[in-house]
Amino acid sequence: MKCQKVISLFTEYYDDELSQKIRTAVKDHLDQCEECKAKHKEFNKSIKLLKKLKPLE
Amino acid sequence: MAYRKIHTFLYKAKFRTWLSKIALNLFRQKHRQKRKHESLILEEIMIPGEDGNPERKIIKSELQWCIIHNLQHHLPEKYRVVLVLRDLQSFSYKEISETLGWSISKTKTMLHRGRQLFRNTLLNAKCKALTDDYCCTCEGVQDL
Repeated sequence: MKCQKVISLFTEYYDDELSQKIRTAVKDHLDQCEECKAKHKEFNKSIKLLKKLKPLE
Repeated sequence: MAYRKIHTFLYKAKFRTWLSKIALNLFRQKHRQKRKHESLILEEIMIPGEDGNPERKIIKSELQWCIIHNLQHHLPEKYRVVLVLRDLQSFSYKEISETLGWSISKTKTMLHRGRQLFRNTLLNAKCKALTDDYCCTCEGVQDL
């Protein structure tokens, strides 16, 4: 799987919306590609920051 | 408003989705009226849990300001809405698509673009919470 494809799947990977086969392919790529791994880490961090905001009840 | 419109609920969608559509329409209506101030999200979102530690409180409020500012001022509404529904309200892709009248495919695309844009705006703003070289171990930063 190429870098551009992997990056396009970050959202579905984060939300666990990928099939097992594609998920494994993305994970394998992230284990080998330092650039995508760094981008993935930033992507996840930004979502976690966003999730820390809570709407008022 | 929901009470007045309850007769329009046709059981074709989940009650939560129907209610969210009303909330979304009210949000848009209110947002149009308040466009000059653009303070709606700032007023409606908060980070819970303060322990009274002044340093932690300042760090938290700076990060909170940065996140909200980027969400509010650097994301077009179409992305902001989908991020709020998914990442703040924990809507499923299906619920988002029903609420916004989008296909599942469009929902995925818009959510991904919105998240990418949000990440980029935080990076452009040099948000310390995203940078690897930020070595502060302050409890407030770790928790946030």
